[in-house]
Amino acid sequence: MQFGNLNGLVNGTESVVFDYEVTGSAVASISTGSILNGDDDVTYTIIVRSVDTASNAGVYARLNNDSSAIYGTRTINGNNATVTDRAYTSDTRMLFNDATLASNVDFGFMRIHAKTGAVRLANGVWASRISGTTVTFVDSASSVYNETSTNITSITFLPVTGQINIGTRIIILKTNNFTNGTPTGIITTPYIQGSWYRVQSTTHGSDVANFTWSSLDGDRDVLYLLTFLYKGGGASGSANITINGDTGANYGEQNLYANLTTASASRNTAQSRWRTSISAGANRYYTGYFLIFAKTGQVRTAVGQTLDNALTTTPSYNNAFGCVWNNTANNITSITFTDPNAGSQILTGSQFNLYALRPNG
Amino acid sequence: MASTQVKLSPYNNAKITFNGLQEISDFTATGAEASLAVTTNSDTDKEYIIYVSNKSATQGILVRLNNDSGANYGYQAVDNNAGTITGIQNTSSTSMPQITNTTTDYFMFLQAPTSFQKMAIFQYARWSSGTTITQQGQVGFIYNSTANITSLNFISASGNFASGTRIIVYVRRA
Repeated sequence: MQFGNLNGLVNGTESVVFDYEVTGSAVASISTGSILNGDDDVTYTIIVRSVDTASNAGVYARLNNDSSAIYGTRTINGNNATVTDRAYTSDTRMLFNDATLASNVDFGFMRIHAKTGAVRLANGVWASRISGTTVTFVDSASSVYNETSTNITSITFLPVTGQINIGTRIIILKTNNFTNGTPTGIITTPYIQGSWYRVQSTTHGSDVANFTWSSLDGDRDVLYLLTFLYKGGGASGSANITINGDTGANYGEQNLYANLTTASASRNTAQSRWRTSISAGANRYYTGYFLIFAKTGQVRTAVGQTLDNALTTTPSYNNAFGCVWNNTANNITSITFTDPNAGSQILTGSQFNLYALRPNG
Repeated sequence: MASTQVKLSPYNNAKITFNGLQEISDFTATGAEASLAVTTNSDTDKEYIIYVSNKSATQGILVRLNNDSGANYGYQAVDNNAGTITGIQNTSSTSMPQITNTTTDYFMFLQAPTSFQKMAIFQYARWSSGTTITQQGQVGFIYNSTANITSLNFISASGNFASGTRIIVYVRRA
């Protein structure tokens, strides 16, 4: 049975349960209301893009609006070339960014195991204090809510200082884990509103030097999840990402990475692309994901994690990226991947996938 | 085609196929299980998302592909262990990095197409008491095989899974 687009909760998927964008005027707080059921939903992915008008601002969350000092966070923080442990205990909140700055944006996510019976743990990646082509911090982050017995039914978001500013967007995805019945038919549908929908997927049948996904609509899609596994590259690097054909010095990144026993960080501004790796070599394997905030209105931001330059059982660099495309006004309509080496170095069998969220359909 | 709004109750009995990620396994341990095998087919499964919440205070969980226990896995981690940040590399592991004990959650993106080496990225958080995250970080791993992956195997490192341990697997098949 072929349906049009479905709008509803479908078992076994992850879908939007809450979507709030601050428009018109800043707000003092944002609450989901009692719409959640952590015991049924199991996991929540909380995605926050905050717009800051003050230093040390940003947005934090309280589960069930619980302000007890029972939260903790630990991150590996990359700031330029410095790697630092960030640890907070007996905190009254769940964090989504590092220290912020006026007229900057932050972008990150935390994925939390919400079910009662044990403490609630979360993992995610943050990019903080972003302006122009500068990403100041990237964090590979983890947190704990040391409460085991109360079902999570709401989440409240509050500003660190002042108010939650215009342009801030909060999206929460939940997993749907209903009791399965016995299937009596099959419904095929192009997509389900508020669930990750694959808008592009390319598996290369031959070696290529570059390729482009066109006909995108970043303002409609709002968030993209890019995943890839490819073979290729060379001494000059691996596949780079550009947006809307922009090859100007309009990109930036802050990285955190490790190779062998050494953890390091680096920052690059005024770049002509986003990278997908720190190191590269010929005929090596690369994998990872990027979560991209695509909507116009602010600089476009991304967080991601990759493993690069790997072969047989030898990996090379494990990386976290915080990225920025310094363009606030142009709708994203295309994404291009280009290998910087001579010849066609994105090799046969390489696969790239792009999922869109489309929270508004 | 105009959008069709179909309200689905949780108990409607229709299998939905669409162009996205869908759950294929949701396991909660009772304490009587020592392993879990999830049937897959990487000829048709394009990518996986795997979520593991280990509730054991004493043993970890091994993850293997095709139940391969040979030294065919390698990984590189950025690890923060009680404030000490290091890199960790292993090029002859017999499984993906063990999911450690004392309540660890991890979330993985796995790419496992046939005729390619398999690779994954995941993050982990380990908690032991109070509001302290004891250990956390991220790992990338590679599995040196181009074979079709027909099972994802989760094995308790010792004894059975702790009761309440949760393993959920999503796949994109469309």
